Amino acid sequence: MADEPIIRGIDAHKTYNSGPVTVHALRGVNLEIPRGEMVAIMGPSGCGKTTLLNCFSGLDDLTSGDVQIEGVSLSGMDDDAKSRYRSRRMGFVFQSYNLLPVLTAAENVELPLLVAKVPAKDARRKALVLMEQVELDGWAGHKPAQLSAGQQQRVAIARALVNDPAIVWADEPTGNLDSETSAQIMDLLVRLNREQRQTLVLVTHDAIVSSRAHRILRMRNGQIVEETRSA
Amino acid sequence: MALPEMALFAVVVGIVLAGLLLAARPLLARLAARNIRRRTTRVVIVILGLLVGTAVISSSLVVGDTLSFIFLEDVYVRLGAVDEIVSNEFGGQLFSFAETNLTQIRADLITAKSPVDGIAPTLLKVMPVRNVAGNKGNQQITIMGLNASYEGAFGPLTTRDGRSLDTDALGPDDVFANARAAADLNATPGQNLTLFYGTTNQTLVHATVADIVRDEGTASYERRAILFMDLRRAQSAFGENGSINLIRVSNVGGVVDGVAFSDQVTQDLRLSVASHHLALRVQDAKASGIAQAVQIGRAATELFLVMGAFGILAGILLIVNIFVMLAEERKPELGIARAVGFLRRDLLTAFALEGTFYAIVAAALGALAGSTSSTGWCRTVTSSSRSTSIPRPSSRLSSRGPRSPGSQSSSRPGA
Repeated sequence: MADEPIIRGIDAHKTYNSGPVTVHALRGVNLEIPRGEMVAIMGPSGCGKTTLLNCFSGLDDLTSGDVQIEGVSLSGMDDDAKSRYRSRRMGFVFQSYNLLPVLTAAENVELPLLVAKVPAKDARRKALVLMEQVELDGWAGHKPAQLSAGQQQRVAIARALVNDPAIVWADEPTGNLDSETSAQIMDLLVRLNREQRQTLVLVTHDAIVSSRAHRILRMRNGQIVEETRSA
Repeated sequence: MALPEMALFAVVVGIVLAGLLLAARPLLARLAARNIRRRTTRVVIVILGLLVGTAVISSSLVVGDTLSFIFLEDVYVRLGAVDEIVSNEFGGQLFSFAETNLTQIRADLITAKSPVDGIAPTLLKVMPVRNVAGNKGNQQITIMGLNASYEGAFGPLTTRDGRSLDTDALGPDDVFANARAAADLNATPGQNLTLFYGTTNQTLVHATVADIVRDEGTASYERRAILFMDLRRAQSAFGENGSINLIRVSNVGGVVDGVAFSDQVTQDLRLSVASHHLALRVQDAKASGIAQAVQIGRAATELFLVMGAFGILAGILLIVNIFVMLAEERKPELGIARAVGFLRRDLLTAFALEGTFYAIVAAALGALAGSTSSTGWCRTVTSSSRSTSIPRPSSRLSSRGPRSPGSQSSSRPGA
């Protein structure tokens, strides 16, 4: 594992105005994640885990502070630049899979490549390789509705990894899965992290899931209050 | 560029732009196409919503044109070959003037080489008439006294069995009745009529129906119920010797195309009337009637277009509402699309492509529905309408005098 931080959060603040109430979702988060590390972020509901993931991945903007990815400040990028950066260097896995229901499994997997203007044939070839890696070869032509929950999450993982991202953000990747499927998905993520040396930031409630990470960060009231390293 | 051409141009431009977009962004096109197939019922509702407005607009254009056509037909039927009229009209009454005025005006038109092929004197009176035998009367029968030697350009009077008649063939007390007058008076050939001329010192004129003529050409003048007399007999019977009260003018060309010369002929007629200090009024009857018919058609078109615009507006509101619903429904998908690198404008483009598909299909189906319903409407309203033949152009007035009766009968409407 390299020591150079690929993600650096500097005094990151995020507030939401919900009517007359101002919600401080992040309160001065400072965080460094080295390249290739697998980090689990835990904490009670509403503590700011998903907000941290959204803001640090550029899906949402910070109210103040800064996030640097591979040494580049996200606040210096406009919306289009952030979108292009995401399509080249990041992958996402969500709790509810968020596959596009109108596309087949292979089409969902190849989507980030097509968005990044990779030729269609190359994109499809790469997508099929990834589907094989997540043990879904033979399911390429199926629509999400024809797949089980575990299979859908595997498709989502393949989609997250298809563009060889530097960072994979996973928000409760096993939240909708039974324990057995959950373990299989975590095995897959751990294996891919180990083989492909991608940085993996995963938000979870599940202690079993977090136990597979190199480092566990615990959040409360928008702050990181505890950091634990795996043995 | 007229509205239909503009609409066609807009549709073509829309299709070309959509085509270019499809070629340039196949991924967005695929997403849009798949999303269209996703909710068939919703697609049908959107297309139906937009279709109504398009159908109303396309049919309004046809309805306007059809109304114009109907009113134009009416003008051609009412006036026949008559393009301009010269009279001494006041308050709807035709006052008599000297028949010699016709000679003066005719000579001026010949000198000016005016594009006129006929000018005819008329004594036109409206009065109550009673059918003695049938014991049926009508208060508003028009009596037209015609000089057959001037009627060549206006076409002959034609019997139901196709025989051409001229008023100079009438006996001293005979009249021809057009079909409308015959129906109003329940008159048949050989029956005696009593004409009640005047109000205070009423003159009774006795006449016999010699024949019944079709309601066409001169016999359809202003769609009146008419009894035709020889001009001299009419002048004598109504105490108007040497007088007429209407001059009918026919331009070179047929019933339809003669009006092209109306401006020139009207100007020549007005110059003639002014140069002789005649208290007569020149009216470009057919040109005015046509302008009015076109105006009515245009007003109808505009009315229906406004209604169509409301339909389109409702369709737009419907599509906006449905797209708001779609955006809400697809929020997670839009989120993941943004996460994998789609730009905001990519998502807008995908929605725009979807909307363009709805618009093009609705426009095509709407135009089809509109034209189909309009075709039905046209067939219904024009089935009773007579098509107007366009006679061959006739020659101009000659200084040799009026043409012999019926000399151009084959070129006149309804001949």
